[in-house]
Amino acid sequence: MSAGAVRTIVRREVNDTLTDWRILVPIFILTFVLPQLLIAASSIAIDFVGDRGSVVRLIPFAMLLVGFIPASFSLITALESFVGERERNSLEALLSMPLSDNALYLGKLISSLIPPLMSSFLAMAIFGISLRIREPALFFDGLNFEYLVVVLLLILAKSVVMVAGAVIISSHTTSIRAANLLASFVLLPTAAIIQLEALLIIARRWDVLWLAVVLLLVVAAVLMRTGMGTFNREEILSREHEQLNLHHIASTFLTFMREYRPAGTPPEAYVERSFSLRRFYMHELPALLRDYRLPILVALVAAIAGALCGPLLGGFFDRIGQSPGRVGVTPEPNLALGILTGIANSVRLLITALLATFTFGIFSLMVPFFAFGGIGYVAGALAATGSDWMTLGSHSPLQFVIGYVLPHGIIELPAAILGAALGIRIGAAVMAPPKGFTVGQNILWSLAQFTKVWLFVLLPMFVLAGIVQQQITTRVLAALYG
Amino acid sequence: MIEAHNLHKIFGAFHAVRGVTLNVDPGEVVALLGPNGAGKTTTVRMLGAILRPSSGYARIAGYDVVEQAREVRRVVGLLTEFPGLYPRMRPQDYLCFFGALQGMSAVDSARRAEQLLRQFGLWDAREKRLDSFSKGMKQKIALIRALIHDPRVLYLDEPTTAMDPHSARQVRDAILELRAARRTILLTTHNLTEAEELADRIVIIRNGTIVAEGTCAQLTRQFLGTPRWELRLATSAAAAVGFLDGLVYIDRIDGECVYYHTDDAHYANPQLVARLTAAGIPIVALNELPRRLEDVYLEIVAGNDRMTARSGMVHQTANTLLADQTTSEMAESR
Repeated sequence: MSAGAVRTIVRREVNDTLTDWRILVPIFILTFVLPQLLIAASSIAIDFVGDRGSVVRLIPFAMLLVGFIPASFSLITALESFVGERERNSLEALLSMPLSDNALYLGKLISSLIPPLMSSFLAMAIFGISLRIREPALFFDGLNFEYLVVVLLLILAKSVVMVAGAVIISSHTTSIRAANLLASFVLLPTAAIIQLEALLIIARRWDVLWLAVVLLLVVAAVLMRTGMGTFNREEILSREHEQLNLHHIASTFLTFMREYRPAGTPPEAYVERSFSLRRFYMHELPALLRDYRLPILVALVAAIAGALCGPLLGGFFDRIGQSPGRVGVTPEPNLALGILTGIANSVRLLITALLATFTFGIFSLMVPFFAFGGIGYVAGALAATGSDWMTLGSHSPLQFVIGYVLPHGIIELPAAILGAALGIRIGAAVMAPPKGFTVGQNILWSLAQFTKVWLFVLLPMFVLAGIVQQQITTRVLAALYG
Repeated sequence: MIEAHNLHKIFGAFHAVRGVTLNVDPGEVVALLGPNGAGKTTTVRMLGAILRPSSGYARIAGYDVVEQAREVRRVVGLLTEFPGLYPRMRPQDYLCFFGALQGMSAVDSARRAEQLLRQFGLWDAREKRLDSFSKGMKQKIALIRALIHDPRVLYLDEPTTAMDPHSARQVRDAILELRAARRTILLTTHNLTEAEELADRIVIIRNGTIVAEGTCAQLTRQFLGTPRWELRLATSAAAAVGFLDGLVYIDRIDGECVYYHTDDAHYANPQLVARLTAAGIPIVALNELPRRLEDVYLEIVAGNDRMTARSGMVHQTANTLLADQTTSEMAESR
């Protein structure tokens, strides 16, 4: 990748933005006028509310607002970055240049970020300086150095997230109109994050805000990786030939269902005429498990993290009835309830896997995290009462694990980890399709693997675990706890 | 310079290009003709390393379009179907931007831009923004963009579209100069007169397949048959018919004119003149009827003539067989 080419693209794009009065005028107003309006509103608010303390708490949020609104303009330029050029017929000339895809993508990404971010930082500086001059008391009471750093990083991270998301949309749509419609996938989560940040700012939870910064930077990195992994100049130009062909999609999905081949093998290379359950159990499932080593490892890490973080999430587990106070309660066996529990758990896994498609697999990560989190919480709480981990007794963490977890957990927990791994693979499908696959094929492939394994492995395992839970676990509990 | 073998391009269920094989020598101008949607642009995009062929291979100036795509883009200048300029830029900045992307220094690209702007009569408009340019001026800027790095191979898609006659002449002269400078040019156009004037060779593509290829003269003979002649007399043509029997095939008689064709004009025409002169029938003129590339094109593409059914079908069948064979080979290889 040539840094010179990236610089050339960035210079041109930034110049282009800075000569477009349709963008310049609103940015100018938001940069220079909005901070003054907010300061004036603060003064009025003090007189109106009569409670200076409440307004002081809002000053940091006002600064976040002053920084975020100009930064949100990055969404407009980013959404136009590729699809706009395509509509104006200028894209082909650019794609015919000897540039790497990464250079082109980064050039567009950086150039979409620079003007709005500059405007955003300038607006925040103007707000701070104006507040210092006009309302020094509000400045000193409402702001501090840590807050300034957090807000700057939040604005930066959020802008990168928005731009990276918008550039992905722009490089995968056929018109500006379609890109604008899809922009809600960026706007809605951003709006939710802003609300959350506002609450945290008012509550003065800088520690959680730092965590938000880190999470946003991770999401930004994932989105950039996704954008670069899925950017394909050929697809952008040839998209005019594409249409939503449901028959083709269904046929590709069924091909991937029919037999197992590693990701990246084109559908044309599949040779088996029909699905065979025997072949699936004997050959394909072991091969699949080998190929899924990485997602399984990720799911295991999430499980360990869940077990360790469980004690921190006690309130949540208490609310869902997984509390240490219930240890010792021995329910009556109920076979129908066991089967229903198994089915319900499988359906829950199915839903998280589907949600994982749109959330880079985060929903699937939650499955082992919370499954082990509950165990970690209860075992941790029992240990906190002073019980020894290695001795049995009604308050023993070991007895809790032997009684409540092991009998059915030995089936259920591996199933949860495998299910999560399959979901994580679905979520990762959009990020970096393997050579030979398009993004669509990669998603269909991972969905097909999930469907097969869910149907023929996970569902039976969960139902069996439910039955064991009712028939064996209850008896073990009765024996242990009386 | 351009070497393409059995190129295929498939978009999902749509087979856009089917087995295109094409060779263009250095300094040669080849016109790629065909109706809209025939696969011309897709072919050019594959040869410009913008699209990857589904199968087959192509080398441009020795570089493989898949493995050495960036090198290919460096030796190729592409004039796209639509100028697609950046409207808020000025010509010099615009051209220098593309020069920089091609790896030229700022000084070199500025110098080259000035030279080309002067050559195409746009130097006086250098301070204006591109959005104030007329369609023809924009087209010229797009052409200059393709020429900025002095490429060895040029793909020109409708180079004189929207231009006034003077500008079109300038562009055509420039293309002839480029040919003289041994640049290889693949010209895509619907302007058949222009193709006839500029191209050394014509390639006609339909449904993604090359259906005809050759010089204008070769194609005319192949698809329109032997030349047609017009004999204009000073008297009624009916009187002369008897003297032409067994010498030429009369197509029709119209007042003082006889229209005919012959397998051997070098023998038949002097004989005809001699016979009529001997009979005292005054000849006003004897002309070969002009046959344009447009007629050939329509014969091939529209397929609305008996000749198409005869000559064209043979060619098409051969190509279809080739395409079918290639498709089976692809399926087998998979």
